[in-house]
Amino acid sequence: MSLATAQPEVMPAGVDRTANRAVVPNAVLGMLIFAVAEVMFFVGLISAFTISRSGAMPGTWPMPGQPMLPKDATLVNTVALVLSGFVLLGAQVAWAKKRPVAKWLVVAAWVLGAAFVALQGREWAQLLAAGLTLTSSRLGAFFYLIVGMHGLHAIAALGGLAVAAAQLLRGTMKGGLFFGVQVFWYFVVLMWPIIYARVYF
Amino acid sequence: MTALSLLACAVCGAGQDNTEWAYLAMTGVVSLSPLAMIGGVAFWLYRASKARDAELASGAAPAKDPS
Repeated sequence: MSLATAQPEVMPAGVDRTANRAVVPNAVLGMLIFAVAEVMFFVGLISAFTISRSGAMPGTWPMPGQPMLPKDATLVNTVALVLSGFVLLGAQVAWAKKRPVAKWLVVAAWVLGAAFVALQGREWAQLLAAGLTLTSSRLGAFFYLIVGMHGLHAIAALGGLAVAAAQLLRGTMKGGLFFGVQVFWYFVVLMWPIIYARVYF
Repeated sequence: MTALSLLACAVCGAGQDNTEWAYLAMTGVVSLSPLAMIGGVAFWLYRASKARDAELASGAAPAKDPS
């Protein structure tokens, strides 16, 4: 991002007052604005879920005959996703120090993220087979809506990570794209524990 | 003319303590979240801008435009 020097009185001596100066990459700022909007999207969904759940009659959440959400199995998915966030953070540190291992760390973060999506898909198949569908109950409707939207974001972010990994492997990576992809992936990673804690428990 | 209790919707007016608490708590979360996030981004940009000014003023070679 470039900011025009509109406040000359606060500029330190020696700074060219007529020049624009790069502060943060455009890709990062754009992705931050996008992430803020998307966080509010999820906050709205979780808010509706919380109010709806609090009004449920005792013994109707989940509805009798409907499966419980697999909170223990999903913990494995959660660990994989959070771990991918830390691995990507390590990739950023390695990339800043120009270490070749950075590209392999990005690939590892992608693999962990893909494992998360795959395990979520398997969980959905099991829940659908057990009778929890989008129309079977309010829990089912909220579950597939909230978790499904997060899954779509995860798949999109995996696409971004794949582009970043490919550019790193080819040696054509530019900082702005890498930082933007990281912001998107950290949004996906940080949003999930909140969803997991709120929806599964 | 005025009702004894004014509530935003039928769900929130269920009369259960849990529901009213959830409604109030979520109102707070939905109201404060955007303020906190936008404030955080603005503060981070301010810090980044000041750091960039200090870097330029120190005579360091200007970094390549990261965009």
